[in-house]
Amino acid sequence: MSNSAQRFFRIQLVRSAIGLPARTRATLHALGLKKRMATVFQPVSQSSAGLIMKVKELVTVEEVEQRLTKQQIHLERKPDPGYYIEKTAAQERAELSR
Amino acid sequence: MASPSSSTIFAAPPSLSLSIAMFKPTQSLFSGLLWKTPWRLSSPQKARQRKRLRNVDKVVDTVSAALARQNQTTKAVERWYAEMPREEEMLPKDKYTIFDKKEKTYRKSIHSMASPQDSFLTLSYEPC
Repeated sequence: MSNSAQRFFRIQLVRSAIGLPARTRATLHALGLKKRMATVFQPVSQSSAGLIMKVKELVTVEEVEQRLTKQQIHLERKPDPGYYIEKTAAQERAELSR
Repeated sequence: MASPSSSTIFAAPPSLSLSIAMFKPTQSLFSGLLWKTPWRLSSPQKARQRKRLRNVDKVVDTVSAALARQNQTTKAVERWYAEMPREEEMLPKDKYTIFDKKEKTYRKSIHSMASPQDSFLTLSYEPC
């Protein structure tokens, strides 16, 4: 198995773990899910798949090619500002070359 | 003044009857604390339950497909496919009711469970 093609599970906790057994909460903790609507990335493997299967009623799962940082996940939800700033050609060229 | 007949005694003045018409005379409004849970699930409740069941199917499908791409599989996924019906294969009885030994019919509606956390139980099997 080549390591370059490593893919990830993007897991989001959509149902709260309040009132659930300690083992279920520990499973979520092992996945890195500590709050509802938290998103974590886990490499696609048998062990992460087993953990997901234990909490399949609580999460949504997608398969993705790369993991995102917390900042990138936050920016996904940022709305369109509704404006853009005019720039000179020189400024745009400088930004592209950067 | 003529003695009023029984119908005039109980007829409400026009202003009062207007104010009565402003609310629906339900039991919970006439008496104080009266909370009643309907014995059957409403159609939106049933729709949400089906959605939850389909979400579980979707999670298992995603996990299975991702592992298959790496030529792997896992026991939990194999067992799920071997034993569990999908949402569309389930009978309404299995989707919306759960086994309870205290019930006369051994079945009670999912919304009568003690806590919503109980809905995380997989209802996809036939217990009796």
